[in-house]
Amino acid sequence: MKNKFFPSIATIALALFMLAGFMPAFAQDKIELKFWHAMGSHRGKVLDELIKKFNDTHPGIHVTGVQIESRDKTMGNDYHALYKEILENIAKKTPPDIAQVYENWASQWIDIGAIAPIQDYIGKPGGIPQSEIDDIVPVFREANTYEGKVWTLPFNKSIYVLYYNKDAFKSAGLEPPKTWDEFSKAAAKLTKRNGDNITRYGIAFMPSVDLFGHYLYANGGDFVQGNKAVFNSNIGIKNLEFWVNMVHKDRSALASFKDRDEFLSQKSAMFIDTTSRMPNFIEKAKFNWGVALLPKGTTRRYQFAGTNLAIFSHLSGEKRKAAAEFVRFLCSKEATTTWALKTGYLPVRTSVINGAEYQAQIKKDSRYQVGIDALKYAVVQPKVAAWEMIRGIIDDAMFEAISLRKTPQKALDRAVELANHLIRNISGMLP
Amino acid sequence: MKKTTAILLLIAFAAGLICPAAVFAQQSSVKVYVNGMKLDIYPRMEEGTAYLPAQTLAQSLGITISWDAATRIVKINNNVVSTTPLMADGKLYLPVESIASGSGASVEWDGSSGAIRISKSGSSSSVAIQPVETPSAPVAKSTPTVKSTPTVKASPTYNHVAASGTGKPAVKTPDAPVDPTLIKAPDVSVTYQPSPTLDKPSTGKNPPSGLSHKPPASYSGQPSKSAYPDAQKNDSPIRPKDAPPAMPSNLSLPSLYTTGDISSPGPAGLASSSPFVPRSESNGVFRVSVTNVEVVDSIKDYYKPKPGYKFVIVYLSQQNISEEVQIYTGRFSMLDQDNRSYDYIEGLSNYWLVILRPSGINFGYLVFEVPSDAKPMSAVLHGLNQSPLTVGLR
Repeated sequence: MKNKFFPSIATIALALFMLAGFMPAFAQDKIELKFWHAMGSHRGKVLDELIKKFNDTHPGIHVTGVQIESRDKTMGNDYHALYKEILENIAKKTPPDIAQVYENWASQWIDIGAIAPIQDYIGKPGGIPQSEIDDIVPVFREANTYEGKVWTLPFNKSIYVLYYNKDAFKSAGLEPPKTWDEFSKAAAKLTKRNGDNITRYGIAFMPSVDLFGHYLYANGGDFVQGNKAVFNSNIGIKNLEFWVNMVHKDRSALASFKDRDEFLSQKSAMFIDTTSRMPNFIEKAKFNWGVALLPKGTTRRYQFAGTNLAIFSHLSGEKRKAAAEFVRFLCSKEATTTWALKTGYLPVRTSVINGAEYQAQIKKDSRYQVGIDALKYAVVQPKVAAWEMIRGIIDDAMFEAISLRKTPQKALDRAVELANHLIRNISGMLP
Repeated sequence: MKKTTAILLLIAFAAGLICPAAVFAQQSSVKVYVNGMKLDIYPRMEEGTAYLPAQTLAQSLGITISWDAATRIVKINNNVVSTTPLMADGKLYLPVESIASGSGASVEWDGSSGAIRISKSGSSSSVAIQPVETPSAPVAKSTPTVKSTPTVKASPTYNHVAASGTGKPAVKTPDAPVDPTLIKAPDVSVTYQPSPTLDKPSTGKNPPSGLSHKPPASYSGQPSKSAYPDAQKNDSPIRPKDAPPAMPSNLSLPSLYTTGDISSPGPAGLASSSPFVPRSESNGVFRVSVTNVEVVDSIKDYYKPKPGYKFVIVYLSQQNISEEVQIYTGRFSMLDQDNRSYDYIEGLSNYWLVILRPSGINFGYLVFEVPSDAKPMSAVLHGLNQSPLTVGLR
């Protein structure tokens, strides 16, 4: 008995040993890829599930998600950290294989040859069928196209909408404002005063570049035209005057760096943010709230937000193809459905928007329809490489005007001057 | 026919993007000088015509060049120029003659050193925002019109030089390139008068919850047409729609970012300290210029340092003075009198790392949170493969 038992163990041991010997060979055959992203907490978990699904269904490829976080938890911004990490590692020649990127980041990195175009795999045997590209929501497809070529694919997208306190609107006898004129009138009506003390503002907002964009775009203005900053146009100045007047003349708006909290604590009746805020409000808001399209001006144009997926050019051959396959997967019908339903980001495919699962979600909560309606009027923020810096400059200009340090004209004139210096120094590409 | 050409040009442009790695390839070894300063560009030769990258040239000459892909119209300083541009490496190239005729610059072909020399009066030798710009930079003879036919057509000499060029001029000519690092920062103080009281808020304390000022007394009683206290005093003429903003020709960096725009006055006593004299240092790769240092007790009327700490704002610029593109431009830290090192607070600073082309400048401000007793001694730039660059702050 024992004699028989021992050899069998030996055989197993030998078998294991041999297997172990073969293991590295197997591991080498598997293509290992690193995907850098900035998705934390709940979104990070959903992303991990998707990555696992990809790995399970693609035996030859193994993708590892690497979350890049800001070291500074209170003031830091994970996207900034991601950008810096990628830039530093491009310089060190150790870039990620796949990463989340904004349009203007891609502009810079395409220019120095650090990113590889997804276009190379479109319509090729074993690549991405053209029909899959055609199915991407046109404005997202356009945002990922540089000089006629698809370089990246859309991922976590959202669009700006108006959040409003339904209870407050009801007691004021108001409907969501349809024009910017109605908007400021509604804000005034929603403002609750107790003598000189204001207990509720019509709106709380953070002076920021994105806020600046709403009125600007809706009235036909632009941040940048071609390679030139033009946001100190008459519309740009009128835009800033609009907000300054609401804060200081009507006193119906509260400029605040914690505007979201003001809305949640009902210190303000309106709030502007992207659709990706919805899951958070569903969980946190203790009152009836609705979502509406932002007001229209002379036209309707709504800014969208969120990143795209890029593959990096140090990869070659099968590795690059595998990276493209992963990006294709995250943008697939299946993945974008899961991603949209579980995180609140917009589906990036027309077929998913019209699909049974997302339509069921809208039926359950009609507020999800607003983002889809807004998509028809979506506009991409400038793709010039200097845009990320210009954003900070406009944040500052907006603050300078709102805090009455400068007139809107003065603040914007100088911001445009600074922006044009940056465009000339950084972007390096003429339109 | 027109349409076809436009499409061809578009394709040419798109094709340029396909091989972006080639952007920095040197097309020929003919050197290009603008007002005596060597540029890090090389002409591209096509059928005997020298083409120069439009953007770099526009920057150096202080002119604007625009190109409308749809109409194929090239404008220099808003004047239409009849020329055929070339798209290569994703960049717009223009024949050197057309740049000269469109901008009033003169062009000389210097056969002995294999160089194209472009001179333009009234333009600085590099971009207007050069932080240490000096009026004494050698400016070549001012010639308002094009000086003879620019002899940039290919000639045997040209080809010979192009083939054997070493990249460095052998003979020092009167307008030899000036090492920009030799220009010392104090020159700047001539044009820059720091005025610590400028643009400081005139209104009182703000409610703790936000930026909403108590309305200034001037209009609290009877709301005027405009809410801004100095709007009436602002007599800047209304610009015609879409007209470009007036660009002061002597613009230097210190006037770009002024103090007090985002901050509130610092602790008592500090405001009266002597004005900061701008200074710059370089390490062969970057030149860092610090234009001001401020100690403040709040940023944007909202962000306050933790108890026992203060904010220090360092206003600076960083220029790539190497001949290569710098992808990662390094990380800044600050040292105090005890050699304690501090990182800047990203969320409060406005300094975004960018890829800097040769002579490209990035600028902004860094916010540090330091103990109340800390004295800002120096800002240090830690690059990838360079020795740390230290700029004194006292």
